[in-house]
Amino acid sequence: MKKVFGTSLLVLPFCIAAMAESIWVEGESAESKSVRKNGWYASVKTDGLSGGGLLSHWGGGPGKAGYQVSIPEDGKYALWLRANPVQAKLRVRVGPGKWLEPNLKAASHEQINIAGDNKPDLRFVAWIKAGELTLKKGAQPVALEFVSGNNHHGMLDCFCLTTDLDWKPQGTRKPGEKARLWQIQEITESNLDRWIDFIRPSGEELGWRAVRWHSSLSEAAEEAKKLKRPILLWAMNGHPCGET
Amino acid sequence: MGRREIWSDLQIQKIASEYVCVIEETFFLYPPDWMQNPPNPAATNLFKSYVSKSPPGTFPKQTSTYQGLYCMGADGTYLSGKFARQSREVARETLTTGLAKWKGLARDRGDQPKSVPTNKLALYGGEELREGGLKLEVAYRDLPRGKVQRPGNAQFPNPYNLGWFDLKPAEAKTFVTNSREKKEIPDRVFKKLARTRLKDAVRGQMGDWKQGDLKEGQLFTRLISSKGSVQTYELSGSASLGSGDLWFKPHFTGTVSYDSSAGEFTEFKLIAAGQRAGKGGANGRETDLGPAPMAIALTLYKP
Repeated sequence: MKKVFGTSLLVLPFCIAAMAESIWVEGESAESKSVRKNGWYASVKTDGLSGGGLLSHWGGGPGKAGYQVSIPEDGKYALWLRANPVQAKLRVRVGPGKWLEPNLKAASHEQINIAGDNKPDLRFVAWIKAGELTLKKGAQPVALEFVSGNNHHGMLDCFCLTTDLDWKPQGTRKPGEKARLWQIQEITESNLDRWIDFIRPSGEELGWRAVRWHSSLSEAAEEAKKLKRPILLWAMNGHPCGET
Repeated sequence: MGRREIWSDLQIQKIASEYVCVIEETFFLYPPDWMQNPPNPAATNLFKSYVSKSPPGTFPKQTSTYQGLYCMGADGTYLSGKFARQSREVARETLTTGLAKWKGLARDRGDQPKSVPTNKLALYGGEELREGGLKLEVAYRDLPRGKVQRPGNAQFPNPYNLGWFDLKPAEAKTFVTNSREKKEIPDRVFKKLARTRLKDAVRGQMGDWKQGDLKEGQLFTRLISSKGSVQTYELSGSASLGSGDLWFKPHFTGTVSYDSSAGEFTEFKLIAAGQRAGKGGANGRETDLGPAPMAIALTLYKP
């Protein structure tokens, strides 16, 4: 496998298994761009992002970005975008072809919340298959526009063009990239207790059990009535005592 | 999953002691419209009453979940509340605001509030404790990756999760044997364990494995020591579970002690450790697809 990620703004391809060709481009590496940064919207966690950053726009007009890619051979390519799918709209064009306007919500998978404060608002990214394109070998411009109804908002973590039409993105793993296999240390009867301690939550992690919790709101309400006290309800999807 | 960062705070624990505290599954508190008979109508009605009295903006429009921290009167009066997972600071502020509002209301009404008891209440999920049965606490955790002892990221720093596994007396007794040779735990018990608990819930919920997802596996028990009326058994075996890109291949290591005169288990320690890959349900693995090592520990719940 050969990967070329030079500093040149012309992004070159890399070969993957079965002779497929792929081009992976970081959203933040646009050669030209016209985007506006919004403090709240751009406040995101970057550790789950490809390349550690993204292209973000929130403003009065459409956000625009341009890239240059080097198509390695004539052929059919799948175009995948890792972009914000939430109440968002974007369009993208490779070369002189037609603009693609993928249905971001319907075509997305692996949606993750990247909000810096974990709030479930607009700040998500997901993988979206924009379409399949027949492309000619050589340098080609890629144009992208964020045209959402709400402040034209948009995020682009990265995009990938690949001749492997069956490839489906997983996180930030590029086509053909294999995961490192971490070895598991041996667990035996003699070190069982040590591993049990490692796996089980520590005293600090179980600090929540120091609170006197009821496990039924109606029971708590009965007690609160008798004591003339207020109720503190901690409600979660999945019982907080168990898998949450 | 925010339990550690919020509730380990001593100041928050102190403020919480002014409240009657309750933890609940939000799905049943505000069930979807199609659920005609929620399991606890009184709780559902009370929570819906609170939601209806909460100020605009407390909950997102058209939300499908109502998880969060909510302070209310016993009749559902809104005191304060924060939707979704919050930071320790926001939680503290929410509790403080709610308490101040309640104090004002209590003063106006001339209430004479009594202290909240300090006795600990039984706190577990799953079924009720049953004599002769086994109630096991399940802990999920990622294993070290090279030099990184506690793998995680900004959203899931050092994640862990808990669950429960209940065995009826007849099921629990299958771990007891006179044989010093390995004896296979019956399929019905092993499948119950494998399909419902040997899953990747380290970062969040994952549904049970479907029939057919358990590709292979066995769990064995054998007598290794006997002291008085207490026998100790060694557990071993392996499993392979998977569906498409989602899979887990654990090996089992463990010991069990059973007091035959008391008819009860005195110890249960089982670790299922192996490589996992993929994502499932709401388990938060979108950016950690693996393969990566994970372990599940099952230990005896001791009230």
